[in-house]
Amino acid sequence: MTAPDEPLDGLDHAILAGVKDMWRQADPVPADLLDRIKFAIDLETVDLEVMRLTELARPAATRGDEQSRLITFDSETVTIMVSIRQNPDGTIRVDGWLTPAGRHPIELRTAGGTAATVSDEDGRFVLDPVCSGLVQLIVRPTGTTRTVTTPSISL
Amino acid sequence: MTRLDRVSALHRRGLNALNRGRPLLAVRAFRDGLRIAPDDVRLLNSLAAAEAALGNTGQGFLLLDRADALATPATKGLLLQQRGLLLVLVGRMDDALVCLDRAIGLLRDDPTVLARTLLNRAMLHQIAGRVRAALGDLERCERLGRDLGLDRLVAKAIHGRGSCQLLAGNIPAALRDFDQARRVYESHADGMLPVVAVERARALLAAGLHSDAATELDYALDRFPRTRMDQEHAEALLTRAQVALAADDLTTAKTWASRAETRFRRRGNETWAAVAAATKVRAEFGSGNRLGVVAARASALAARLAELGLDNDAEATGLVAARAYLARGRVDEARGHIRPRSGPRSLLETRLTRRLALAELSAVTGNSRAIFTHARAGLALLRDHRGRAGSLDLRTSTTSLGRELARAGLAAALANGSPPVVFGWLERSRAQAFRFQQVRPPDDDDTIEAVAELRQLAHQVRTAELAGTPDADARRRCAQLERAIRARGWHAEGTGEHSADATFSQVRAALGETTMVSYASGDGGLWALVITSARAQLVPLGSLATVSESLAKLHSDLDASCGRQLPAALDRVIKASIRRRLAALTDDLIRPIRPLLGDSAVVIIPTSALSAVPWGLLPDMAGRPVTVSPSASTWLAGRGAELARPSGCLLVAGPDLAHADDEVLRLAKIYGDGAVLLGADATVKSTLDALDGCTTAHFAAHGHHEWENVLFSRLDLSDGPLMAYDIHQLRSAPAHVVLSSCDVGQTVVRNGDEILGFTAALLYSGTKTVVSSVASVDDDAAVDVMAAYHRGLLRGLRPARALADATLIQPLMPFVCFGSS
Repeated sequence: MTAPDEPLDGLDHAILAGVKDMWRQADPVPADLLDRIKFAIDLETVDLEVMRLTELARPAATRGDEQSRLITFDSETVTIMVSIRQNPDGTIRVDGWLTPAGRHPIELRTAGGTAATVSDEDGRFVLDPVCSGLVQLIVRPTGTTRTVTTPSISL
Repeated sequence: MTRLDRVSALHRRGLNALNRGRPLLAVRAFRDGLRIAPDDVRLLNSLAAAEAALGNTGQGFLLLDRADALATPATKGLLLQQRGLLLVLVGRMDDALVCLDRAIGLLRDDPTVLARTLLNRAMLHQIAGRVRAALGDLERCERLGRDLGLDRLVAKAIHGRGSCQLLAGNIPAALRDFDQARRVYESHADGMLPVVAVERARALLAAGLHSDAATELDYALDRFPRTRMDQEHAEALLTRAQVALAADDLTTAKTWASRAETRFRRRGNETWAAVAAATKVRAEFGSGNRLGVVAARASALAARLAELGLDNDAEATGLVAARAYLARGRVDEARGHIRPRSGPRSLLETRLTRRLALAELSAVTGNSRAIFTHARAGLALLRDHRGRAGSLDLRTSTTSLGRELARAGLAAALANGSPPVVFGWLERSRAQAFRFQQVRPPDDDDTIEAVAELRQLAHQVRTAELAGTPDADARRRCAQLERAIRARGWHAEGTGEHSADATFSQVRAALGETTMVSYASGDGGLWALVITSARAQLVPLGSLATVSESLAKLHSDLDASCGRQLPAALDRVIKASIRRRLAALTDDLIRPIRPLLGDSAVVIIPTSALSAVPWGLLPDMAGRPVTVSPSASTWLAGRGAELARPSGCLLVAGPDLAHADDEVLRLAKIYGDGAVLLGADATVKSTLDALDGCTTAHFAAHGHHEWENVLFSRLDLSDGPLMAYDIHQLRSAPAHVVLSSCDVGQTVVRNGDEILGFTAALLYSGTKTVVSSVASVDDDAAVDVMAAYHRGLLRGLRPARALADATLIQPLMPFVCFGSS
């Protein structure tokens, strides 16, 4: 051990390493924290509106389990609902419905790149296959300059 | 301890390690012993064995040479058998057999070594495909082992018998033997566990269950580096390549085969290296590039394999050459590589490949009659093979060869276009598992216990999920139990008896006013064969991929909207999508045949993804009786059953649903009699007891279709799930069953339109008509529909008519009438 103003010695380093180990065990850094931060700061847009997320519970009024997750995203201008299910090969299929109905460009950002599609005139779209991991949907509603994005979600 | 005691203690320790499958430990013990007694023949002999097990065969031979010089009459037999074994390991089979034959003659007074030698000679016979000789040696070995109390040796003899069963094509018996051996290895020889896992993988591969085979191999490949069993490790690599090949994963197959080949070469085992090279060439053929080179390479390799005495592999590889030449249009070279008949020891796979090659040859030369002959002969072989399995899991799985044979026949039939010819091929190549006498799954004590534990845990899992606190441990244990119960089911053997396919004229005569639409798919295209009593026509439709995508979207739409109050704007989007999908499906599946349908009742035979179509939602089908059947033969066999006036009715309501009790009580009032199981009374046992012997059963319960493990698709009852597995156990299933639940009308569709699922389980067990849903069902809306349906039955309507009328009162009810009606 050393006095406060002396340089750290071997024992100090050992104690600090012990403290580090203890915290690493007691309260580890989430494995995907770094990825989440990087993922979030990659997106830079001026007129950006982030949507509110609601994950819909299994409806009590059906006679079975959901084979998919259903999430809605709301904003002032746009509502999106997506159904997320796993394909037999382990990839993910995203089915989506968007209001106001119409042909709007949609992007799906993933860590590995961006997939793009356009909803049909009824506001229906599909992204398949998608790799599991963090993703974010970005919609640029036709006829506006605005960009609407969902919070990043984990597939 | 004397010097001699120390030596023999070390020898025992080494042998023990070797028998447990730990050659590295064995080598250490034997070397320690030889440091004390350098001229001990038995130690030299054992060390040679251990070195060989580690891949050092050259070292092994040197040790044996040294021991030979020191041998006495008492040790001569011992050394000969060891040399024989080493010769096997380097692929010199003929020399090995000579050694073992001589050793067995000399070993009369040494029963332990004799038993081991018999085991080794059996292996030799087995590698050469001499199954009967191998079984003879194994039987003698097992008997000696039992007399001597050598459990491990007995287990190895049983293990060997399993390998012979596999060669003879009896997969259930093979798996039974491997499992029996495994139980002994678990306590007595853990090093043998990966070895028997590779054997299980081979059996599962032969059955067409690739992903299960891969799981076994992943376990083995993880364990081999620890035990350093080099030959077995290399064989596992090769088997992994064959599994990848069967799963059409050609790049992976090439990689694994190369690794195996390198390892065999390093061991000096040219025989196995050639087999690995043959696997690689099959993968190269599969990828379809540079087929001229592939053909030449396969041809040379076939000659090499013939030289090495591997007749089956030589024929199989010659056939690869033939098919590659055919793809290049070089008919003469191709013909030269197809034998006039298969070798006496050729495996089923080779015989099927030969038929396929001949069918392909006939296609190139434009001889469609010969295509039919060869494809039909191949499928007949396959059917005999399937009949040996009792479990539906094995019966409904086919290797890709079966698929290709069916495709060859069907493609020629579709090109021919004659409705009776197309009909014949469709029936020959689809839903064959229905043709066999059903075998109930094994119900030994272990299995019964496992099923009871599974049910109780599944109940726990479900309760925890409903409470929002998922129980991961219980869920894992459930998965484990499901795997074990499923694997136990594979042991059941079939009787081989099967019923004949329905003929075109039989079906036409039975149709009356009804129209049959049998869908066919091939090379991405889709056709409808429309048959009435008066005429038949083959109508080309669009692409299967387009229909599949429409269906996937429709199912997401239906699931998302079912039972939910969504914001009005979102609900409009979903409803619009549903209308658009139904219009697209109508365009692809119905519009081209509309003129042929008129307003008659319809029997639909779906293919692949079409099994999930909610037919009643298509506007053309609304109000029209529609029956969906796995094949025309199944439909025909189920007709004539008296369903209209149900007697002996069972009504069951499952838990956690607001309207299930209402539904069942209303039906009880409609019928005025029958057994009713509600609330806590609706247990699995009371339900199964009541099911045995009733003619009609109605369930209002939560339903789950399990894609991953379809045998455990289920309905929730008060004390746990009623599973498809339980349905297979029924002595007699009710003639008519209504599943007023989500999803349990869905099926997993395997190659050849073989189906599995809860509804399928009922049909296999003898139920003639099942009404169930292919999508989510709204709890509230189901009640009125079901009341109307049963009232219709009581008025004397056939099920399909009663369902068509009942669903008119509620939009978007995805119920389908399956079987016959």
